[in-house]
Amino acid sequence: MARPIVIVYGNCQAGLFADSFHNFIGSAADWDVHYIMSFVHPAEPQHQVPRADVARCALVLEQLDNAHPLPGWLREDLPVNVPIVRFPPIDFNLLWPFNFDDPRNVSEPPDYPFGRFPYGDRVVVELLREGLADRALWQAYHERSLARLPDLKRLRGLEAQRLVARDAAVDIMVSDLVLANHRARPLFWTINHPTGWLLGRVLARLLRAAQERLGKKLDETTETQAVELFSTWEPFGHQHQPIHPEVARRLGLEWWTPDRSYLYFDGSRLTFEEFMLRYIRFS
Amino acid sequence: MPFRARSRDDDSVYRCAKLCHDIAGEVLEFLPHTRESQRILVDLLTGRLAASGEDFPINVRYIAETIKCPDEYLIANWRGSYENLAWLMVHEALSHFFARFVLDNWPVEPYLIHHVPKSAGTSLYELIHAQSYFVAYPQTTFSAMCVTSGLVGFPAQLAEFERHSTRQDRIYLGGHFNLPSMLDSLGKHGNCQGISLVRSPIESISSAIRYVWTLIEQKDAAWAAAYPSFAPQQLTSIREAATRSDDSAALAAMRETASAILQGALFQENYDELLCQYYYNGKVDDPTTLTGLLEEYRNIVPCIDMARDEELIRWQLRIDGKIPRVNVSLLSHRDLARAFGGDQAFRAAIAPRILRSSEIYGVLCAQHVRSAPTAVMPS
Repeated sequence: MARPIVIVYGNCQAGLFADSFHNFIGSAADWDVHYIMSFVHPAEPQHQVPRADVARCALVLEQLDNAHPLPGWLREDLPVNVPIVRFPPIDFNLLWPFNFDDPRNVSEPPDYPFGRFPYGDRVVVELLREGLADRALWQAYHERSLARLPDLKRLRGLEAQRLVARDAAVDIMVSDLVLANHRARPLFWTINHPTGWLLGRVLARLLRAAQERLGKKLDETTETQAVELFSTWEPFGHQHQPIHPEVARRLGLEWWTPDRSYLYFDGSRLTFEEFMLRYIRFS
Repeated sequence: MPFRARSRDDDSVYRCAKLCHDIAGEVLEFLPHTRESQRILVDLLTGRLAASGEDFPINVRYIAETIKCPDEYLIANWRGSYENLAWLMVHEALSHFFARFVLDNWPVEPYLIHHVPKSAGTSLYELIHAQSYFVAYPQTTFSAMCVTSGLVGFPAQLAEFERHSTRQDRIYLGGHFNLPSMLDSLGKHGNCQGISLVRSPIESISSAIRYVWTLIEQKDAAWAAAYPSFAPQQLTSIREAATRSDDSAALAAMRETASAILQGALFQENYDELLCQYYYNGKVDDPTTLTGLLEEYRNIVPCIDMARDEELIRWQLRIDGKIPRVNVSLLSHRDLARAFGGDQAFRAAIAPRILRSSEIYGVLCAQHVRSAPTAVMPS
């Protein structure tokens, strides 16, 4: 008997979940999973799904993306009543209130397909435009960043509203995991790269929803396995975004320490100052 | 104590509220207490309730007559849809109904704490909470619900009431409410044990002036906005100067400031003839009818002095331990009265604002004298 086809659509997180499905024994291993990217990857081609597979798709896991919804060609070829489980992108802006697309950052494949510093800092860019550079900029950054720091309590409220409102539009809830745990443990390496702790729990919810929709008997151990899978694996841990010490202090992040180090693409572990200096120099 | 639904409607409200708390419980701490957050939560709850596939049949008459929900739009448009249910779950009227819901569906013993503002009873609730009992407060407005129980008041109260650490054999009905209306709304449950915590009208007004003064000094948004001509620092200087010396100019400045506080519209709305707001309603509106009410509900004992009546309060509410004292005022009654030329002069200045309240206080004192010995020493 042909195995049911599951199509997963979304960003890199969705790709990871699609791959992760293969790790599960029992009912989940009986699925044929196809991943379709919701974005154009500068180095990786789009995976092609045979039309015959689309036509007998039993389940779609769609990551919500208002800018890039499920493409028309795919929607047209899907069976009419195919169940669709929607889940949100997993992101969190609160820890990085200065996050900004630095205009110096460009794709440099194959080593830096998303650029050397995909996560910029708007205060740094502001100071660069004023003609400052290197250590002089770093010195000015201390004062300017504190002056520019928004009311984090209010920002947390707005962020909570954004996450909960988005959860209202999907089938899998993530805001509860993010909001209830962000102070107690690291949940994100960057604004849109979750840690293994969070990935495991979201995957568990996805698997449960998928099993329910496919009418499969729910495997009691699925959730434990999903959490276990990411307990020692950090698929997005290769690239960190440093957290401003004052942000960590004001938010009361229990897991943050002043000597916390951040990983750069080349494997270097850098303090906040070392990371920021490297970023300011764009070296 | 297990929940035992008295009706199908109660059962639906219970199940729906539990599910809503499971859905939204983790995010409530972080959402701002605004109508926008309420709408977002309704969207979330609507989808999740629908996805649950469960039915929660609730008759519109139950909403109008049992919950006494004043929201005409919700009642007129009630179809029992998941969106309707979500709006009901976040509604302040349902949150306000919680105490009655508990009385109807659990074998609990109610205790009433009628607390007239400025009667120094806030710390009493700490003692009750410390003994793991649940206290339900009136929640007649959206903001009162948010302050007391958060954005989804009823489900949050239910979760707290059912928590393992909470003792469910009693429920305390506390807070600032109109006593005759509350007793009326409780029906047969109104024959419960309780206290009516009050102070003399003079002391209440003095406490109110000092409370407002303190809040303006501390830059409280609502009170500072009610007195735009007062600068917090200016009030601090006046207070410090008048409390340090007998300088007549300093005392006059304090008296003028206190008089200006008394003239404020927000102050008058909240504190003038204070006792009328809490003891009189459409049916009870003079000393005779109030005496009749207190005779009818003899288990509700007036307590007119928090310190002197501490033993009586503990007995009436069946609680143990010393009631902690909280005094947040930056100014004492003695210093305030001194600025007016002493207690007598202060009373004379305040008298026109407390005529009917004094009448009520007289009734309460008479009842207090009658009730106290029998309550403290039951035969």
